[in-house]
Amino acid sequence: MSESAIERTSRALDLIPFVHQNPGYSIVELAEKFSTTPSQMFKDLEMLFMCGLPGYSHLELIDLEMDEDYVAVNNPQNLDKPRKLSLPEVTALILGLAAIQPLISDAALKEKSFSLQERLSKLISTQHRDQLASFSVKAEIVESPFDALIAQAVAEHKGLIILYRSAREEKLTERTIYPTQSYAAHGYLYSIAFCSLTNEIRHFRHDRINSAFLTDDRPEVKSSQHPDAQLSPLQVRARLSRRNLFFIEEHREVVKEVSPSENWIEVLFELGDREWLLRTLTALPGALEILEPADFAAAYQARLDAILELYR
Amino acid sequence: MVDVAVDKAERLINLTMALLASRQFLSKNEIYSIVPGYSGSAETKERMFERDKNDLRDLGLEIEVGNDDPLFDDEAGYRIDAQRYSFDLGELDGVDLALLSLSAANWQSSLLSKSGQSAIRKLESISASSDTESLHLPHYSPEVPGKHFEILWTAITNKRRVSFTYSSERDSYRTIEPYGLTLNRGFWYLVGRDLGKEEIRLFKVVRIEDDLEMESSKKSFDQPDSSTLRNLMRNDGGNDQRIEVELLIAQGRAYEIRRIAQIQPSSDEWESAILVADSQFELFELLARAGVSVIITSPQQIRNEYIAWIRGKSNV
Repeated sequence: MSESAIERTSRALDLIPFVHQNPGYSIVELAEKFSTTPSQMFKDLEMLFMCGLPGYSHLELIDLEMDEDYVAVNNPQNLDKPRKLSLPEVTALILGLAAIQPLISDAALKEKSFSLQERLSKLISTQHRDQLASFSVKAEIVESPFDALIAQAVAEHKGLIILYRSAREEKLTERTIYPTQSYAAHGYLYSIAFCSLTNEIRHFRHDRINSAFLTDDRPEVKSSQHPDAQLSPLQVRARLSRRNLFFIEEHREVVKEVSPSENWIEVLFELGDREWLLRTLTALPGALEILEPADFAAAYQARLDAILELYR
Repeated sequence: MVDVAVDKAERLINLTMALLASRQFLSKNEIYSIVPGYSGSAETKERMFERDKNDLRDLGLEIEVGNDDPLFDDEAGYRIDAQRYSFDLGELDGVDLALLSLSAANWQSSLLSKSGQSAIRKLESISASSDTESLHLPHYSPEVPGKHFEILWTAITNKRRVSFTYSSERDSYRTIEPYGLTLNRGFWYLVGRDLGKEEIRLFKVVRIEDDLEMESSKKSFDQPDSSTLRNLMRNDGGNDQRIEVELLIAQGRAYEIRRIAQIQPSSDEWESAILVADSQFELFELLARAGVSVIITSPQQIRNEYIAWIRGKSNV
């Protein structure tokens, strides 16, 4: 679909002050920055050559320098400043700041984020301020006393010796992990790290860490994997109560197929960790039927029977 | 001036520059003579200018209408106040811009993403460059709400009802007066009055089916005031009835429960503990996950409900 003149104008009005402040981008880079094609960017820049202040002599036209690898605006005339921020733009930034605030442990940085929110909210009119109240972020993250230490390990490329309560087993395990990146999802913080125990890259939920100490040891990659890491892909087909829609929404990475019907949702799980799935399905509310494989269905039933046996 | 066929986008940019450049109000005739591209009869030029004016207003530009001499009721003129064309966020350093860039990057493919990226381009047009890596903040990846988000945004900001099939324990068709959208634990929720149930409820946006429709009539309802709205969005509809149970926990097991329970340490095979959970849902999930490592000892009613809950999960 071809672009409207208004979309093109909008991009061009933003392009001039951007290139004026940031000379040296190539046409391809500018196209990527402004989410358009290089040929469209070229046309935009060509058009801007022809724009200027009344009089339209070479002194009043926008002065652009352009070749494939280098674009600069030497004289933007009176378009040296960007247009006002729109309500969706201010909202995206204010809500985005609210979303990252719980992830900020540094007090000065957190204060900066509050100040930016305040300054941004002053840019919008009273009428639009009421509209802004319609959009919010309930930013709650389960904190761990080790969040700052993990951030330090990521920043300084250090390892951590941790005691970890895995979601798949009932015991605490000591392992050395080498976190490279942390992320937040569904109200929890996780780190992606090489794990010396399993000899694999794993995801660790921060609030499941019982203790943590920094270490300068380098990761030791073992030739054979720990038994925990022997996780061959497993497919399990199950019928779940529709009350468990939330579970499917939160675990899309292990859900291969979903077929909802009036009373059930039939799900095909595909994952490596059999024990995690058994424990997790046991903890879901409502009736549940394992359709296949038979040995997984038997293991699930045995788990329920064992719990009931405790109450006889 | 030679009248050349001028691309509309080019005309709009020249018009913007002309209106910004003039401290005086420019009459239509002055505009037609200094901005290339207005041609044809007086009516044609008038129509072109009216459309251009509306287009620029749609781009957020404030075009002032007036005349320079209030004593004479002359033809209206037009100009753009340079102060109101742009914005002043005060001084932004590299860290400010890095924080804002990271905030904008949260929103993946949706209206907020496009808006966030265009906002950052504007900020980069007035400020130092940023280095988001230097902040060492965890990456945040909330749900991508896709096309529903844009429709709901428009319905909320224009106060229009929406209707859709909602996938919950039962699929049902709902008509809602939409009040707001709130992001909670990685998922977007629509807050609004369910006209069928006559109640204000939260709807998880991922459960809204593709038949989502917005009513065309404007201002079909009144929205609660902003403080009421904030309170509605804070309430996640959860059950706040806390439940306290007494448990036996197997020695050296059930670490997830041990973390939050009060344990009476003992050298016996089983240790006594008191656990307080926010809801029956949370309690039974914790207990079932721990499997044979925990037993509820009291109260009897919760113990019986838990047994029935486990029986109900049987692989039928």
